[in-house]
Amino acid sequence: MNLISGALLYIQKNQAEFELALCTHLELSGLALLFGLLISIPLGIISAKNNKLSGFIMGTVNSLRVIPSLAILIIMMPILGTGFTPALIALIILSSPPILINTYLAFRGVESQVIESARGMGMDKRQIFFRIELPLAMPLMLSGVRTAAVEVISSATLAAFIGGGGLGTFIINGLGLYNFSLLLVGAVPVALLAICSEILFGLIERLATK
Amino acid sequence: MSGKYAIVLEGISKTFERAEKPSVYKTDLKIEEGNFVTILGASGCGKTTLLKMVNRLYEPSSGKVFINGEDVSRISPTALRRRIGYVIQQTGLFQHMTVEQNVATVPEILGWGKEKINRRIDELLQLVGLPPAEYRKRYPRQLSGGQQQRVGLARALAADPSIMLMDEPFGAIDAINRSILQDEILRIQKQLNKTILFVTHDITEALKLGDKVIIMNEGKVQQYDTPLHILRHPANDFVKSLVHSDDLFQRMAFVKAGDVMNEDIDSQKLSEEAPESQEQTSLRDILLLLISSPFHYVKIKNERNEMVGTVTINEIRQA
Ligand SMILES: Nc1ncnc2c1ncn2[C@@H]1O[C@H](COP(=O)(O)OP(=O)(O)OP(=O)(O)O)[C@@H](O)[C@H]1O
Ligand SMILES: [Mg+2]
Repeated sequence: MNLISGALLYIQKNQAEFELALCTHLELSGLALLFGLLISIPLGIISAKNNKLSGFIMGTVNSLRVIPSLAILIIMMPILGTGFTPALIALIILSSPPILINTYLAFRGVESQVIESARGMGMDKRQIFFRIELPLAMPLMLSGVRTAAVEVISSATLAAFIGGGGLGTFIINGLGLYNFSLLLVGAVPVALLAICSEILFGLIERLATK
Repeated sequence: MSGKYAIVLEGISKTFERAEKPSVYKTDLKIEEGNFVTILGASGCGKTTLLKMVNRLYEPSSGKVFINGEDVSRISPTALRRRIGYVIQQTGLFQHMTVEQNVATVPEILGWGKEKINRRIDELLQLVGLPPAEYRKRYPRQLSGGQQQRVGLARALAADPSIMLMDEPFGAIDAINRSILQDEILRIQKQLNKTILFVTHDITEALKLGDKVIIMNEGKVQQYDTPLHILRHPANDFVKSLVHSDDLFQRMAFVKAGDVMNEDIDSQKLSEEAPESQEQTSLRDILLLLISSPFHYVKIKNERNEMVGTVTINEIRQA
């Protein structure tokens, strides 16, 4: 109980600092997810349609998946230095495997017979893509995006390690000072954000698939 | 090239890239308007390849295809395909769309108005025996295989194409429902006077549905003729063995009463009690009727229930 009231008290006293951290966290996660989508979805579609490229792209992505989040963040440091941008880039890389793999599988999963019958009815490439492939691939793609969103929000916590800011700052400081109230100031909102995004994307998924 | 032929193939052949030999050798075929033509042959003999060259899903390696007298290579593939109905086996339906959306596909691409599309959907579902009120809003997964194929048929008919290409449409459907669907497609074809090119590897289906049958083997047309002619005069040993034409009992299953009946009914005295049957009935069934009745003939009636002929053991022998 003390811990919680301590955390609330801290937020009350340092409202500006808390809000800034929250905003940075959201900005970092949101941008990472946005860029992740913009990069990974086209790459996933290209891989699904091009056998030569798919081996290379999917191989790279699968090996990325093995590297832990923190390691990617730390590896970024000597290359790009510290701060917001390197953290963002690391998060974009982190978001790509679930989106890319699911997009790839989703488009691969569209039965060739369905495409053939669409072609046979006189749809052009554009119509086949937007009316047939994309809607059929959507559910699996969205579930990839949901996984990526949760992963990015939780991993954005680690951005604090390389000076990227965000709610992780409180956790690092809390750990350093043995101040568990401070730790909660970072940890609880991150958990809540992750749960909210899970629910939000679950809802979008349901609406899109009904 | 008169308008009499719906489809004309002139020296059509197809060799796929890196293939050693042609999938379809040089072929000439003329298909008359309003004819129901079935393509029969074993797996891999080139039936699908031949069919797909008609709507340019495959481009022929040589030769020309004409649709209603028009060279198809001068029509854009998409425009051409919107004018030709296309039905394939099983999963051709769009699973993420309702029945009505599936059926509306081509009319929507063609830019029809909402009202017109709506009316057309009702009309077509009625035609294929799916009451619109019950089925319009369903998704394909909520239908049986046979019902799905009916939707596939309605969808292909949507923009009222004069030509339909069907690639083993009933291949995955159980025997009972297949037989029902065969009767339906015959009824629809007669009613709408479509030209249908229908691929199957089921002999019974080919002979039952086809006004004419194309028999293929290893990329070559072996015979193109009416079922009765194929049964009576198989062009070569391949056709002979395929239709078991040495086996009288087999053959009787494919010959229809209407094809062999004695049409001279005025000179005969026909009894009220004599057994009756339809023109479409196979001789095998007629024989069963003969055996189980004291009469030596079966009366044959047409669709309008008018007496059109008789069949005796003599007609069956000559089949
Ligand atoms: N896209 C393709 N690329 C290369 N070869 C092909 C292609 N499509 C068909 N073939 C070959 O052409 C031949 C004829 O195939 P086709 O699909 O026309 O046979 P089919 O008579 O329709 O057989 P089935 O009854 O099994 O459908 C086969 O040997 C097949 O391997
Ligand atoms: Mg085939």
